[in-house]
Amino acid sequence: MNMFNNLLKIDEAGNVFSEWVEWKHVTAGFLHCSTCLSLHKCWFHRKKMPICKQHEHCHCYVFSINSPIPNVNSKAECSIDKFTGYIFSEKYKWNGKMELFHSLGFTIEDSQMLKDEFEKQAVQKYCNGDYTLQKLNAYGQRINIVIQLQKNGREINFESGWMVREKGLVTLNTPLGD
Amino acid sequence: MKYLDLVELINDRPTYTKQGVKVGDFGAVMSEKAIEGKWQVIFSEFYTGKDIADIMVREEDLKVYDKIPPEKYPKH
Repeated sequence: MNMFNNLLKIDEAGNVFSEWVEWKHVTAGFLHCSTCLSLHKCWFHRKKMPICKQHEHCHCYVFSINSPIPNVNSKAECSIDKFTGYIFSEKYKWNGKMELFHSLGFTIEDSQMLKDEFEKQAVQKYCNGDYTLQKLNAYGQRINIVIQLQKNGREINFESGWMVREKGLVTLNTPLGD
Repeated sequence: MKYLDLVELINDRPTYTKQGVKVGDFGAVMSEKAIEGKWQVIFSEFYTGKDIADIMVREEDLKVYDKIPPEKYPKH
C-alpha cells in the first residue's frame, strides 16, 4: 500500500481530462459494502463527489467520463406522488409543508407543473455541477438542488433533495430538502 | 410497509438519536422497498415544514398509521 493507491481516478478512456466521473464498485471476494454498492455507476462532478475510498479495504474507484447532457444521457425524475401523495396529502398536513406551499400560492392542481419544472431545472443544474452533496448511505448519495419558481410576481427558491442514481439519473427525494 | 406510509418511530437506537430522531417522531416512508430490512424514512417536525432527518430505519422500529391520532399531536 503506498500513496498512489489513494489516487481517485483510473482513466479508462485514455488521457482525456473530464470534469465528470463514474463510480465503479469493486467487490473483493464475497463481501460488499452496501453504501459503495449504492454508488456503482453513479455520475458525479469531480469536485462534488463522495470520498473515494469510503472505508478501509475499499476497492472502489472512479474513472473519467464525458460531461452529462440534460435529457440526452442524463435525466431527472420526480414522481408526481411526491406532490399529490405527500406535500398536498391530508395525511401529511401535520408537517406544515402543505400550508407552506399554499402560502406561496401553489395547490394540488399545480402538481403536474411542479413535477415538470422540478425535473427540468434539476437535470440542468445537476449536469452543470450545480448541486451540494448531502447524506450518503445504503440507499445512495443525496444531493440538494435549488429549484427556482415564479409565482404571483415573486421568485421562490426550493432547496430540493434528490438521489443520485446510475448513469446520469437523479430522482426526487423531497421537494423541500435538508 | 410501503412507499409514502405514515410512520412513527417506536424504538430508539443510537443511529437514530445521533440524527436527531427520537421515539414518537413521525415521518414518511420514501423508499419503494427495504434494504437489509431497513426503510428510508424522512422524519419531519410538526407544523414548521422542516425535516428532522432522512434516515434508514428498521421495519420493526416503525408503526404505520392511516393518520396521526389526536393525542399524538404536540401542543401548538
